[in-house]
Amino acid sequence: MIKMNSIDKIFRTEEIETVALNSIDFHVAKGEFVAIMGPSGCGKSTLMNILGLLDNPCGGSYQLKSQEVSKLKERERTKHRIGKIGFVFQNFNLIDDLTVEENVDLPLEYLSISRSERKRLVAEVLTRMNIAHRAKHFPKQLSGGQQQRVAIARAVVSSPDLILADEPTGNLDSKNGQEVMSLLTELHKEGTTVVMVTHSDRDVSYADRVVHILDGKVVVEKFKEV
Amino acid sequence: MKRKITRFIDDFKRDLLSNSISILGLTIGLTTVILTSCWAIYENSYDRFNEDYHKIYCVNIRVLHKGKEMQDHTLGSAYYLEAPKMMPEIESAAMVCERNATLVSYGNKKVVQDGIVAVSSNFFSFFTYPFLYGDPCSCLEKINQVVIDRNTAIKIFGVLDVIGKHIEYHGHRLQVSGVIENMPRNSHLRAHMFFNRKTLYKFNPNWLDSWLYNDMFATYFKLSDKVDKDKLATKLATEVYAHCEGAKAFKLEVFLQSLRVQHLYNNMDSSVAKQIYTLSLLSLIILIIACVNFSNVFISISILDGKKVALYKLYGASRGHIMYLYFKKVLVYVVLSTAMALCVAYHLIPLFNELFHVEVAFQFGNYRLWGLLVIAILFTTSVSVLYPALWLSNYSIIDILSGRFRKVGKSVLQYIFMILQFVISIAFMIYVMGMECQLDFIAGRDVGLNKDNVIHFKVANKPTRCYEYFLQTAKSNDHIKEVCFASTIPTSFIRGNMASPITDKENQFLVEEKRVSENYMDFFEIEVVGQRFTGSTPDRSVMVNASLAQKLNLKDPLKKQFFFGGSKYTIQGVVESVHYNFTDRIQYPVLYSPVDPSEIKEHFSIMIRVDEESKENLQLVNTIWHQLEPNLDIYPSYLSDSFGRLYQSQKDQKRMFTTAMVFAFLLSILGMFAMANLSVVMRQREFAIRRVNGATSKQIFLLQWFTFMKPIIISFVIALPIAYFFIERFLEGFALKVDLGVGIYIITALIVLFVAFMTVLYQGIKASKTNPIEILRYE
Repeated sequence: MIKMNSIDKIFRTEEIETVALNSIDFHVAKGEFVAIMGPSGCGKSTLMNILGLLDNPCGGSYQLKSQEVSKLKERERTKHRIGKIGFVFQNFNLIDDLTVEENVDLPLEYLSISRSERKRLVAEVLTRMNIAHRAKHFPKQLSGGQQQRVAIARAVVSSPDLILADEPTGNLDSKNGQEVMSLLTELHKEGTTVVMVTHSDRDVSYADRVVHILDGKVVVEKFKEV
Repeated sequence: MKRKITRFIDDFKRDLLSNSISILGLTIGLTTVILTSCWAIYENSYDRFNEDYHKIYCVNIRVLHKGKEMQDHTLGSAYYLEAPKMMPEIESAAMVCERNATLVSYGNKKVVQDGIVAVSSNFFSFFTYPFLYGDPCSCLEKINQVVIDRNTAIKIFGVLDVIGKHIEYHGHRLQVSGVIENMPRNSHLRAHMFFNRKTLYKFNPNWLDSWLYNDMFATYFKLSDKVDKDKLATKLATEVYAHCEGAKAFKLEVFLQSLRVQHLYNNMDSSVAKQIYTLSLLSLIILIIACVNFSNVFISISILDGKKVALYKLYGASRGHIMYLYFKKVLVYVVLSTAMALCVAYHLIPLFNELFHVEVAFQFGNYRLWGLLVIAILFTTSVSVLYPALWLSNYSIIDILSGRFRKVGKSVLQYIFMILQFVISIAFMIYVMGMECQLDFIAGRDVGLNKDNVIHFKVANKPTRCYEYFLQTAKSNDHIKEVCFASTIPTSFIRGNMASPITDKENQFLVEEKRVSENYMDFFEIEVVGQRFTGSTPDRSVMVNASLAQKLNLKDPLKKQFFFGGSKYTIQGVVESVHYNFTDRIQYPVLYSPVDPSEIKEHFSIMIRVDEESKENLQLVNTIWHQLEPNLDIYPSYLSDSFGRLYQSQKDQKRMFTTAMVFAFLLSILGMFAMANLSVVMRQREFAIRRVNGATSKQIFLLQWFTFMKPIIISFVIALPIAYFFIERFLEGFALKVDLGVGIYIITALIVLFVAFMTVLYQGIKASKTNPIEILRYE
């Protein structure tokens, strides 16, 4: 699914050069659930940005579903991204002035799907996330856990092959965090590839494999004990 | 839909102050555009009520002699009669000859009637004016028939159906053959009484037969479609040469002007088109400032909205789509502002008319107005949305979601926008001040005669009797000091005749002739070198001004002779050339000839010097006049007002720029207020950290204050040369210029700094009062 070889990412300003990723190799198989851990500033977010085709690496090769995507222009990256990658953020990133169903509908707006089909898909995913009764509400009217469920609904509504979750439970209490993790696990079991950044040891336990990053390099890789 | 409206209202409330300012700014900009559009539409509607509007052309002629333009001429009556017969492309022709205001009577009722015109018999079938009574085609077929308008009928007869009744005009008994509705306000012809031109035949047969005559006539042709106007104009000139022997000495230029061009570009006082262009340009500048203002505030509001952009982009929205979203959002603001602007403009129309001396009406049914409004809405939306949409849609998703987007809130371009607004406002302010100084300067200049406390008026009936009566009254009335008369008041010019030196008869030039009373020079305290006029002044013995003496090449002009209108005149006195109008560089050559009181004409002006310029003295003159003639009104006014009106176009221009300056400044201040408000919100964390690190309230206040004073100072520096350039251009139009010095620049700087200081004062205090603990705890 994901093959990253010798990926570099260097941020340059006039005076400072910061190496965010240093010749990193990172592979994810289809249907795998991978957790990424590491201290602040180690390059996790940079790696996620590159994985999510939001940014290009400075060097190295990145193959997504056997297709080289490391040197794509923004427009091409968008084409590869829409409908195929779902995003879940720590702070949910819901649009405040859109209702729950409109937020979930967002990824479908740019896919050639009819309005009625979009409506059906949104309703389906909201039911599945157990949030259908809140469809007409605005994000501010929801609890943190509910907001994150909406964010996950939005991430999966287009049935993506890959879900990138950046500390999905970071802003939630343990009960809501557990619920979110159960949802992600469920998606993973259905065959969706999940890559998750987390600081939580408990969340890590849901993953098949844990990758530790330090100073832009993979330092340890652990597989789940079966 | 309901949800969308609720969402818009919620959005609006979130930044109530900034959003209100945005809407208010756009409303101001769009109001100016609507008012200007109404005016442009109104002026453009002139004469369109005529059924054959597109076919009607006014015939103008320019007469050149040795390359110099001569007296204004128009084509004579013969032309109007003969041209359609000779040239098939001319379908029909009509003629109009304006007459002076004259006494008209019906029984014992006497009125001074203005707007009298002698017209061709086909006038009412040529033009389209609605009739209340009578037949447009036959109403002027006969000599001594007259058509009057509604107001005149009421004024003279008290009723409208007056067909067959007779009125007295210049010894003629005219029979009313038609009553028309008052002429529309958008008619270039403004008249109240129309009689057959043949009635004038007895006064001057030439009026009927000549091919070339003076500027009292206006000739109109109805041309068939697809006529080559230039070719026809050349043909018309050729016919004048062929039929008018005297014309061969001149070069004639004939040109055909449509009614639209005639009205918009040929106005005598100042071109209507020029005024429309100036006001349109100013309202466009104001609209652009409003758009810039809106963009500036909108960027700041949208920064808080950046997450939305990022998410749209994350899920595949293209830049075009983001721009489309913003376009939709801004369109709602603009449509709302337009609705408000329509209401404001509707209520401001009377004030606008008074301010700019126009007669604009708000025409809700006019498709042009709505067309212009749609263009204005699209233009405003596009300009307003352009930068915010480009800028916001250009940011990367990572930047926005990581919060870096917020940090660039104080965009350089926003700063530039603010400077741009103030540059325009400050330049306007300096320019207006410069205009004011110059107009004050020339108003206070010595014009070469004593114009103070002089009342003037015309008398439509027996002017000699009137003059003598006032002369007699002056002896017993303390308020009346002196009385004189002249063919025109000093500020009026009726081009006189051609003059030339006695030794060089071919070297002709135009000289204004003022026919004056013997005491004219004493009355106006004009210094005379040579002999003054007396009762025994010989015929054709005249006074000239220095300019005429110079043009005649006479170093010692006294008792010298020259040609004037083909006759020899002798100079008995010389006076200084009077600067009637300081916009003119030329001091026109003037000849003063004496007139006996028994020869005062009805178009002459009687001038009375009173002890002071007051309403009471105007009333006094009226009262004295009514003792002599109770049934006839006169309209006295002060000569100083006539001098004041000389600069009317400059005053109108100043009024336009003052209005533009007020709006531009108001918008800039509103923009700055909104920006300052947003700045406090966006910088509250910075202020809190500074406070924690030891900054005092005063220091925070100064920091916030200086942030906004810096662009003002930069704006001032940029505006200075721009304003200087335009003021110099304005002053070029005057023969005498005021020395502006640095005063107006210093005053402008102080005003702008003070207003700007007051604008950011509240936010400055708010910033300095920030409680760091609350802010940082929240963060």
